Amino acid sequence: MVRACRVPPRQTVIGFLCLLFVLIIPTVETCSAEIIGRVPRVLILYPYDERLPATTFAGETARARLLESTEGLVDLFSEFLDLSRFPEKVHIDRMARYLGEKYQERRPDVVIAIGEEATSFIIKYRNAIAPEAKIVFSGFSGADAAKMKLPDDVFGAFSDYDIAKTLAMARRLQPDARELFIIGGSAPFDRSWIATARKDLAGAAGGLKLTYFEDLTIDEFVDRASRVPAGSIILVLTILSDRSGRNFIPRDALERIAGKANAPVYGPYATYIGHGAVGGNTVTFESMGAAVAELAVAAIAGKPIASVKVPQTYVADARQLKRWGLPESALPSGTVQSFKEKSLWEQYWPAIVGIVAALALQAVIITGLLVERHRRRGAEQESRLRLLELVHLNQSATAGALSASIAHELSQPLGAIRSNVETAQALLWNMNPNIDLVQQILADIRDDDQRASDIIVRLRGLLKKRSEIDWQEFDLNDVISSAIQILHAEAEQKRVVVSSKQPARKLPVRADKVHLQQVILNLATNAIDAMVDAATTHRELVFQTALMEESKVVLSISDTGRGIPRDQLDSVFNAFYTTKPAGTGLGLSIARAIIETYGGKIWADNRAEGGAVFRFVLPLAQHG
Amino acid sequence: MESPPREVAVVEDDPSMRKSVARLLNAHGFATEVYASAEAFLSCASQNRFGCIVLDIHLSGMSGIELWHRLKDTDFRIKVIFITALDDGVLEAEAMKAGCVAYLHKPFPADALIGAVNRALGA
Repeated sequence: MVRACRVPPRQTVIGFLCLLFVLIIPTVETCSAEIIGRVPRVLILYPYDERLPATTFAGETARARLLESTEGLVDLFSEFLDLSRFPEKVHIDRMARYLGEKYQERRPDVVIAIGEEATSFIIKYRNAIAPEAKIVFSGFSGADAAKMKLPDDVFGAFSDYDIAKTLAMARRLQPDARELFIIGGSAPFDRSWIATARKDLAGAAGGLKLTYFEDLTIDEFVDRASRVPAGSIILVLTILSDRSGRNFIPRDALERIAGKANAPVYGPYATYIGHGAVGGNTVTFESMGAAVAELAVAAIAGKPIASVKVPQTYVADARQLKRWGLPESALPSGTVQSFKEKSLWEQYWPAIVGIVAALALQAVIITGLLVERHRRRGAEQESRLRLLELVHLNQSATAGALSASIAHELSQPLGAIRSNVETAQALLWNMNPNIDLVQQILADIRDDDQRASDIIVRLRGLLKKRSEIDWQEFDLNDVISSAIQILHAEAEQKRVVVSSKQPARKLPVRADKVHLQQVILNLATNAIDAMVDAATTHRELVFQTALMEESKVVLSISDTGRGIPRDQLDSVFNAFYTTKPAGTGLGLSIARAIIETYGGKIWADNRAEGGAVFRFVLPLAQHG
Repeated sequence: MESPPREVAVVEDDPSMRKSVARLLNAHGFATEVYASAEAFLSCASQNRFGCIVLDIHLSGMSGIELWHRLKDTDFRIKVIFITALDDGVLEAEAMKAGCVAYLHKPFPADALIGAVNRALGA
């Protein structure tokens, strides 16, 4: 681990390094001047092999920070000393010779030593490997640095692990815990950690029964951990190797123990998070790397540097908190939680906001459309009612205009009935009344009564008020015939000859019969009025129906009147357009509204031979 | 002085009205001849035999008023009783002033027609 690894002949080495330090000082001072004008060289020394995540994290972070700070203008070299697997002096010496020769032509300007062992190594062999380099380090505490008696020109970012703080965190999470189990391996580094724990926890574990599991095999560690009383606290320091000499990456060893443990497991390293540890107080390796990189950058720039402390952090694994039922609220303030399951909101808030916004927008649009639809329907209904009222007013006006001719029409059968009745009475006064004649008279009375009744029915239809459209399918020719009957007396009075040209076949349309009759009466009465100035021998009103495009029927109503000024052909259908002194100017606009209601079209034209012709086209209700 | 003829001409374009008026007159002892139009009446060769004419004003073709004017222009002095289904005060006043025997609005009572015919025939 980064924290420490004591190289056995340390005192000797330190003495040597002190001497070396004295010799190096002037060299270091000139170093900054020499690297000006070229890319500085930085060697990162890793104590172990590249598999060990702690040192690798720290080194990689330092590398990234250096590249960032120098904008890539730095030559970076990495060397893995592998001192955990090869702690023998012969290997160390061999590495020193190798590196000395390797960097003979490219002497580093700065050496970053990760961990105590790498630091000791470079200080010892500084002259052979990087005689002019500034040395900065990270990965062990200030206390350890003091023991090492480092040269005065060697500075570092101290990593002060405080196992007591890790225990304090555990006790906050498990205030009812009664026993504390501390686990450490058999490697020198492991033993060093156990010693530190014994010292640091002596006063911090008040009330807890302390038990150390040490000098055991990995299986024994796992077994012991699985049998601790529930609710206990387990602190795993490091297991670089076990009693059998088997080497481990500490986080892997912890993972095996935590997997079977009967109580929550804590540890002082961030690398334990995600492998079964609940949490701990630690110095993250990324922080170490960043801090030592800052020192290296300052050294490259020739700035004065001094040792710094890497900040400590509480770390925790949210999944382990959940596994052991430990309250998140009991975590020390500022604890960095990993693997915390985000709430749906945290995970998907942009999508949720988007969806809610879209739904809200959609709801607003739908509501708006519904309101608009409602208003439109209301307006359409209102418009339809207004049209129906207008049509009825128009019907009444037409009935009024035709009342004289209707009265004339009705007077004929009534006059005949009265004469017949009084004739019959006279006949019946005779001694021998002519019964046959009386019977003929009665039959004629019945026929005239029917005739009067028909006139009244037509009149009733003309005055019929609609509250809604009465959709029917009927033959347009029937409506024309009915209209001609209504107009008959009026036309006759005004000496207008009415004729109708209709095809033999039926012309079924779908509409309100009364409405179409009203359109025809409007057009025909206009035509009759238009012929008032024409010679009495030349007043012709012609109704003509014809098929159009096989699916429509067109009715033309032509007169021999004065025609319509060409520039007014389009405006005759506008409301309040009239040429009659007593006209309302609504008849043709109502006619257009009615025809358009039934999907048709109406227009006016002048006949080449004189007079006007009004046409409207309607869709046939059925083909053929 | 020769007594006026008792025969009455009925000129009416409405078939039902024409038939009923003729029946009524027949029932009261008058001989009648019916015509559907003014033109038909004028084409009749023996107009002199009629003591009076019951004449509808609004005929298709030549109107009753026009026929009357035509008759007044001739030596034939026939009495005229107008019948009409239209209420036209001006026309009525004009007709009365010009010397028609009666101006009857359809439907009219039998007494009015018979009385008018009797007056026309000088009964």
